Amino acid sequence: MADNNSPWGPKGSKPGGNGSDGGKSPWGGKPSGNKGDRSPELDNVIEGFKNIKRRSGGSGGKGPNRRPGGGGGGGGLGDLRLGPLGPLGIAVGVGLVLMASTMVYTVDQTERALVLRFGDYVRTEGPGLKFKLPSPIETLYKQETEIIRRDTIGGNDFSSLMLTGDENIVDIDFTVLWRINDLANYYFEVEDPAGAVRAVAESAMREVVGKNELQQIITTDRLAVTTAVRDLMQETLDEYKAGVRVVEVQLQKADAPDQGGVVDAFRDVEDADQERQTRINTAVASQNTIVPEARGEAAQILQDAQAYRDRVIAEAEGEAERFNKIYEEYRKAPEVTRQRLYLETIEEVYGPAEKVILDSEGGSGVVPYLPLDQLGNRARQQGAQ
Amino acid sequence: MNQRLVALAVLGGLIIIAILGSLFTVEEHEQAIVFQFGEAQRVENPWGEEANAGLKLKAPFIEQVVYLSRRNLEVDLRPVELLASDQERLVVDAFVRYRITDPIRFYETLRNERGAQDQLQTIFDSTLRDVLGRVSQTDIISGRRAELMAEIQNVADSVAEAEDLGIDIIDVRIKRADLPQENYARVFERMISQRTLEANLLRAEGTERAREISATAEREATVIRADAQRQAEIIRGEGDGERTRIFAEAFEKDPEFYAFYRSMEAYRKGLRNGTTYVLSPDSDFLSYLDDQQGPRGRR
Repeated sequence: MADNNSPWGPKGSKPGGNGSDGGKSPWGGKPSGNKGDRSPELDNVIEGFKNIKRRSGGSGGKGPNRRPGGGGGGGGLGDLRLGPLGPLGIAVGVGLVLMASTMVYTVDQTERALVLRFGDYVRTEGPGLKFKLPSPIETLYKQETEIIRRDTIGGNDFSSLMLTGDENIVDIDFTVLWRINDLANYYFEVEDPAGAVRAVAESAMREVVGKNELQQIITTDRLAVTTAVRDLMQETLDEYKAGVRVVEVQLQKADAPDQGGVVDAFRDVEDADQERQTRINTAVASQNTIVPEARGEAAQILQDAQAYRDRVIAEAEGEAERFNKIYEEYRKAPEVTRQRLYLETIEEVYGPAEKVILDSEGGSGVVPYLPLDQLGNRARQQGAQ
Repeated sequence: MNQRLVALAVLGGLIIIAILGSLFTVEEHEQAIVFQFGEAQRVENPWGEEANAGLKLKAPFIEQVVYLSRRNLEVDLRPVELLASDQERLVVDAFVRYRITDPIRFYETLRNERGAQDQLQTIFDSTLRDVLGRVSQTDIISGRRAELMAEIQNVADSVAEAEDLGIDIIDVRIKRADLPQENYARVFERMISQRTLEANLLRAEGTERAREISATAEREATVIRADAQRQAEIIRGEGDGERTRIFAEAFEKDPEFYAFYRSMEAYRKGLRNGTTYVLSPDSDFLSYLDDQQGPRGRR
């Protein structure tokens, strides 16, 4: 710190990175505030040299070797001036050119530039060809403010593991997209703003994860988590006046940890859920078979019953009608009809049958022999034919 | 001539050095303490006042300048392993943001940012343990995180104020509050057991629902069939009833004839071929066989 007595010496962190900056050139380092100061000074120096030359010319005028066949002293003086002043003039010219070159600069469409006059903030410039006072009077600090920066956090084994609200561990890798929205604040207010963004991101993500439950984080609430982290980050960075806008937080990975077979256990739950659905579906499928089948069977049973009813009724009606017809005729001649019916029936019945006629009166006292088994056989043979 | 030239150059050089030595710049993000023979005289562009950066004057050679930051500065604390009130171990990794509000006191007590970092590290080691040791692990991880961070900030800020460090603690953030790595296996085991439980429950639920559905389906089918059977019996009954009614209506007219008629019908169907009859000539059928007068003659 003791060697800081030179105003330019300790400014290693001079912004802008301008090569001709920081007092490396003795002309650039000239601390005069404006050209008005410099001109008399330069004139004095030039005047001083003029005097020296004049005096040396006056005192050493006898020297013939300086200008062989030298005419007027004035002419000799004019020629002599060019000699020693040449390097000085060139140095001044080069210095001026270097200075002038620091007066023009361009700002890209993606950039914004801060102009600092002796470190004091003067203005912010947008894209285009711009002018400023030469370095080191005015210096520049340029940043690509429009470009969105990505910071990926997590990725290695343990730093991406976080405790959730229900005391589980979740493995999270995420990316923060951000950009500079206020270059002055970004540069003046916060030390290492990019590092601050990272640190705040880590803190915010863990805070949000700590408030949520594992299952929600890895499934339904992914979007809600990223939004909450973004908002919390923005709030914190605004408190710091960091001049940073958090565009988006993306979850690259939000899973159960790989370690110790936890992931397998989680997958098994998914499998189990599928299995559950499969079992239910199978049951529903069989339900869809059994019930319609039963309905079909029921319809069949009903149709059968109706058929039976209709048949029985029809038969009954037919039979009744037949009887009625016969009865009508019977009433007209009951005796004869009755006899006829009887005889016809008996005829039909006895006609093809075996018959044994026994006179009951004549045979009284005699027990007739009846070979019942033979009669039966014959009857059976007849039946077979 | 040479002596004059040298003298002039030396003089010019001295003038330039004197001018350079009396000017210095303070950047927007810096505050500068001006010392005179090691004694702080004044602060240029100090925090708490309107920004006043730019080109400044000082007495050459006798005044010296020390630059300090005017920005919001970060100290990344070492991770601290601590015991929460419920005896759970936690590794807490935090960072602190502060600002130099009194550059002269800051320079006196801490000298530079490196000194501030060491001092803050010491303060926070104990503050974190004090504040977080009073609450449970769950509070640290989830429930009261923001509140606790605010409390830590207050405690640390008051310590910094008491020690008059010339700084203001802007923010304290817990970056990580996690279990020590040795404890992970235990948590993983619990997570696995929880998942297993859940998986089993899901499978059992599947079976439960499946059985329920099957049973319901079977019951439904049985009921449908039984209902059909019931209706079928009723329909059959209707048919039978109708039949009975029709017969009764027809045969009522002459029950005696019906008996005869129906008997005849029955004989025809009931007495089949192959039957052997033992007949008496007295029977009605053979009455004329015995006597041409027939039954009337005999009577």
